[in-house]
Amino acid sequence: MTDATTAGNAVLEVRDLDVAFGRHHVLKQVSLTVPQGRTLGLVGESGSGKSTLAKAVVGLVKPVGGRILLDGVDLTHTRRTVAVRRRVQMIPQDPYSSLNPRMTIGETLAEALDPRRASVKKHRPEIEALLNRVALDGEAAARYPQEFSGGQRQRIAVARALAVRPALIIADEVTSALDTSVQAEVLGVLRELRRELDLTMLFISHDLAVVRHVCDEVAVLQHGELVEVAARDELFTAPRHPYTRLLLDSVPDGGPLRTVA
Amino acid sequence: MMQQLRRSPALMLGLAGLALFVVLGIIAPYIWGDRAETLTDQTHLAASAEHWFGTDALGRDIFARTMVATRLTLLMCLATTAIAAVGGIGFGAAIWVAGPRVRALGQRVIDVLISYPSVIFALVMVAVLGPGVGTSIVAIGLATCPAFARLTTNLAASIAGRDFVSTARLLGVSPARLLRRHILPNIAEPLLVLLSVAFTISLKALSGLSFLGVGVQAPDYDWGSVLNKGLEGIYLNPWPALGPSLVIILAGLAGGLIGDGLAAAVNPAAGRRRGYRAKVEAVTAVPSYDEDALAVADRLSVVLPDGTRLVDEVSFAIKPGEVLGLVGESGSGKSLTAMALAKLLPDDLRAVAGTLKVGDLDLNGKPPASRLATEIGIVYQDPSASFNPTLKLGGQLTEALRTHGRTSKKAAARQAVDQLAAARVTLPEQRLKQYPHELSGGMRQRAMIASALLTSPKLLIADEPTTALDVTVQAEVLGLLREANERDGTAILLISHDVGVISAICDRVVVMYAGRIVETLPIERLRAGDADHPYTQALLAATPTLHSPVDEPLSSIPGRPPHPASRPAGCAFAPRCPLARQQCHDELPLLAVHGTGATACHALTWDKQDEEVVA
Repeated sequence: MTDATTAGNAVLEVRDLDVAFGRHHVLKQVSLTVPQGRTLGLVGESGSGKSTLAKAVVGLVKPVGGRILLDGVDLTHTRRTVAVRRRVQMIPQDPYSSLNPRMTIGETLAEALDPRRASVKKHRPEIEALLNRVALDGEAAARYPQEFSGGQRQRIAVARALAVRPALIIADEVTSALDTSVQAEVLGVLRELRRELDLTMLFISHDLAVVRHVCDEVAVLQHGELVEVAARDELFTAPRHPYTRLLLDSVPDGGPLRTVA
Repeated sequence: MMQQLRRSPALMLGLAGLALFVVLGIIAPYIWGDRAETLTDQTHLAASAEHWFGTDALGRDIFARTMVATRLTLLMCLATTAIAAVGGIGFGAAIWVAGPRVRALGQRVIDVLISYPSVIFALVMVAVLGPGVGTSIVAIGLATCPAFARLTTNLAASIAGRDFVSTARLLGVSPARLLRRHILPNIAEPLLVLLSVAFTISLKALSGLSFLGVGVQAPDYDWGSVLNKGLEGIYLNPWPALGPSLVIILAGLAGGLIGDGLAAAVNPAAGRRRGYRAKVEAVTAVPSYDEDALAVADRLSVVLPDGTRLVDEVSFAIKPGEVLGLVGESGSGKSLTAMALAKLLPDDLRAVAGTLKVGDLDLNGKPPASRLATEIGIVYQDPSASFNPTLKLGGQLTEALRTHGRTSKKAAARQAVDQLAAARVTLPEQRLKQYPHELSGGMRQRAMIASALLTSPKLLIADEPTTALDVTVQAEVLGLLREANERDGTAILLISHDVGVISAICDRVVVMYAGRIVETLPIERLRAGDADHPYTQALLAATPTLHSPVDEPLSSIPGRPPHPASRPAGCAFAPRCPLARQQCHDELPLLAVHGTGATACHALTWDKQDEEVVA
């Protein structure tokens, strides 16, 4: 592992994580660290286990071995309280199913701020501030998700995750349902927020070009095993593992098709 | 919610009918109350102008009794439906909240209860509690509960899988609040439909009980008991039975119509008119294309029944042996354009074109199905949806060959194996005997390509063929398409949203925006980032790559594309274009040859004008 991934105060630390569904091993001895204020990109193809890793961190999947530490606290086997759950927030993939069509944007954000009462009135200034953070107008609070484009919805989903002031944000394929121009808009907002708020993020994507534009470090998963973790520039210019090289060579990158060995 | 409900004639008629019965229920006892109760010696009279439904054994007017019975009948139906809805939705919601184990058990219980006919259940209740209004209401109400409970849990389960519910869980929202805020509001419409159905069913069941004599007891009476009394002399005197029956049928019909109307109104797909043809101005055929082109689309529009053009007069040609890319974002009309070329548009869409042909196959007329199936091959986006999961691959792969190519089964299988091998599908002989699910996604897409190439088509249309695939498999599939093109000279129309995919194997690219072609250019220029149209430039700038600088953010395009129904008169991109002037909003720019490509942009003419001014 490089210095970057072990240095500093780690917000998320995953040690020798094993996850199995029945006899099928999905994650094998995966270890990684996300330090405060950094973004770790997690890439891999379908079946590599990247979404399972996210689910394990969030607590939706029980690991069979290994440990998950958040700010040094072991979460692996404890029953997570609401307060602990709120420390990790997920931005889901599909902005068309991640917002309740029957709730206004204000109600959705109010619920994130206060899941019990969810009063829009009481939280109006915070809701406006959150919307402004993701470059949306305050009056958006009174409208319903259907009135927004995919990119705007995804920005609202980002605002909802920010509302909780989580220690860690997990972004799971947040741009794969979006058009190219809209993807650029969402990546731009994430970029701004990282700079302004010192966000710590686990950014999961199958798209290496997107990961390159967002992350500080990149981890590559193949069949549930971590094959390479490296700083961004290092991984993209001098990949060490043959699988990483294969992935990079397979990306159609604006030129004619290369023959992949 | 209600403002979204479109008013259908069925719904209106049903509501009007129900309103009529409600008014009747309120006023009937005041108008007919005396006549209904008065005993006379005119017993068993047939229907007449004085007694519309005749009289009963005690000489009471049956029409009056039927009218007066409306109130009790409706109140009983209302109470029954309320018990069913409150009990059923409550039970369904409760077991949903209680967690997975209770839910599984609860669902089994519902399954068992729902399989008992409600009248049998009610008869058991009556046997235990004795007949009467209260027993009937409770019995039928409880018997209808499982229907509501089942719908509630099933719908809740489908909503619970949506991302906004799991996100709310992560935010710490309690199950009860989850149910109230996120689940119930999103399943309200189907429950509303069931409510009106339950009303009709309880009317039927309650009348049935009273008819059997175990429901409402004298001196009270509802429609069922009036019918019961009227049945005595049905052969000689049918109206005392037919009258109340008719009223039950009418009330049931009103409830049914409301249910149908609600169901149609909440299902946006149900109300679509089919078969309706919009008037589209005829396009006159003027051959303005290359004579040796393989496929030609000349002023092709794809039109909705209401006249909205989803694709608006696009013209392009595919040369023999060419790989043409069609790139655009969602809603740009790229897939519809391609499907029009394969004559595979959905039923309610129509293609209108001056010329639309592939080879000598005129797609404007009625081309023979066998030639369509063999001369145009298609590869779809999702390899798991393009094969029938219940049939073995062999039959599906060779279908076009056997039905249209008059090839024997054996020869077809041999060709299929060869083609699978060429597409580098491993173990080609065994694959023919396998089912689609036994192959990986990449293998399935390779088999799909092999199948499409089996009839040696002149044109292969590949609609986002690699979008569902992993990046390493994508590279292989793209290589396969290019190989087929180089080996057999098959022309390919490749549709993709991904500039990278288009750049990888195409010779030329057509860029679509909001249903129109904005630019066509040779691939070398796309690869070099040398596009003329501001939209193409913006699209390229927004695409992340492995080599572009990462220290500055990608430029995004502000705004969103116009809806096809409200496409502006001028350039569709003008509202988002940094160069736009008034002319762009007013005048539609036409595709004009510009350098090695063609561009539809006014700004290109300004440059010339500006230069001329300078010169």
